[in-house]
Amino acid sequence: MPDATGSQRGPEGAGPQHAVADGREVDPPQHTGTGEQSHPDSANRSGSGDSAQPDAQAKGQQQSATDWSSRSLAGKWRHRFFYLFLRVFGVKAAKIPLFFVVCGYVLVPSVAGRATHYLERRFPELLEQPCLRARLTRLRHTFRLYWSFACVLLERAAAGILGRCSVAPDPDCLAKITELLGKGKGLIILSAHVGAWQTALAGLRFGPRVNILQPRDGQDIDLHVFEHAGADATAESGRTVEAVGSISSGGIAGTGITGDAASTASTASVEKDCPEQAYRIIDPLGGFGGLVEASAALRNGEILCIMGDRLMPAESLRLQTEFLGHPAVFPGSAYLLAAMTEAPVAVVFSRRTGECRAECSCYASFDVPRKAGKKADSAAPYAGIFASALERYCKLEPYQFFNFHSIWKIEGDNDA
Amino acid sequence: MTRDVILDKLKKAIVEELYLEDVTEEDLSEDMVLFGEGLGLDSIDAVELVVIVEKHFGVAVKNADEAKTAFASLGVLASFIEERLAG
Repeated sequence: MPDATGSQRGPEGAGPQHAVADGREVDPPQHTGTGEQSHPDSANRSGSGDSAQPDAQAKGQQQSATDWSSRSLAGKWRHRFFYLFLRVFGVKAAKIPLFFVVCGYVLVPSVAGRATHYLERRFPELLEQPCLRARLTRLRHTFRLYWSFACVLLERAAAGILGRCSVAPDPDCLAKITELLGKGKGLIILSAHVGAWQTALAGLRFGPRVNILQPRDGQDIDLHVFEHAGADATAESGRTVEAVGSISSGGIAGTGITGDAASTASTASVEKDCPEQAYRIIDPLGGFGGLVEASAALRNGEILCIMGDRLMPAESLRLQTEFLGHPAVFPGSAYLLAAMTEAPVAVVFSRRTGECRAECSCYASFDVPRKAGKKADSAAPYAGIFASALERYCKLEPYQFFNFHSIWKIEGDNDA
Repeated sequence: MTRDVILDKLKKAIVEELYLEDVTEEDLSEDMVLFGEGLGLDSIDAVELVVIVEKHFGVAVKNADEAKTAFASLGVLASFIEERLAG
């Protein structure tokens, strides 16, 4: 388990991670320092990092790294079938048809191939084994990864529809978040597409409002936890996502938090207000990448959740750093936002620990000091800290990494 | 604070606090577009600009819609600040 200050734990803890709270600067991990500005017109900026990479490479990175969609693989009717099945028969029974769906996905090369980027880096032995053995091993890894993902999605729906979910931040995580919120500068929770991330974000209860910087495709048909509640507001109310341990403005407030089903939802902007918690989804595809709203929220002392492992099309700073032994591209705006607003950053990942159960842990926390000059230079060390934390997570939980877009896919890396 | 004073303060703050290379206050004209094809600022700069406006003039830019309007050009931003200070 990771601790709250980013120190290493477990057998994989020999990495370069050194994150600290309270602004103490400690050896950030190695990074390439090749951050780049995505805006071609930004070339007149001092030290934007552009010069570190040729234009063609930068262009290739930009094209590939943002080539993703939030749209679900499954169609509308398949979603509806599972939502109905869940409602009628419950979570365990819904896993029976889910098993066959996952088997189908694993056997379809175009779908199974989406896991290749990650699996080949997490399990490099796949590339070394004889052909048949490698195929069988790959099949096994792909199934375990997809099954785990399917369970997370099913349980996310169960949390919204049935109110069956328990999210438990570990005590160190709670203490750290309480401490960071106590600074009164807001808090950036940097997470990733790992574990039960959506359920965790919706289930955890903090004092201030939670803002989630997340794009929504207008055609999205899979629903967030609170969207299930909103879509169903006329049905029974009071569905709950239980958070074991919560933070109020006064500190750790105990256990068992109830949600409120009477919310409204839309695809562009979702806001949920209840006495203990409010959510707002900020669209990064909106004006200025959503960063104006995000900074306003932080200055208001609120929490901002950002996925640190995925580049948004509007991302203005892309940083290259090592991840699972290969150069990968991560977004950098979160770190600059932290520097500008003086908001502390907590790297928090969730982990599915059982049926409808998840746990959140804080893998690192740090302040980003404002520095004159190069944007990339200011942010790159922290992207390294994030990547290092994510790598530790992937080594502990190899089948709970659900970013199926290749963040390693950069120009010149034909293998990616 | 007159509009000209606001404009001069804005130019100075933009050059100094956005760390623009090879750009001086004299290079900044009132009708210069700040984002995209003009000065080439990006979304992170927008946040910085919000901070600058608040820090130097005590004027809050509350959301992206307001920012889109106010940050159209240097002159528009100066007028926006002048109006807010007068109001």
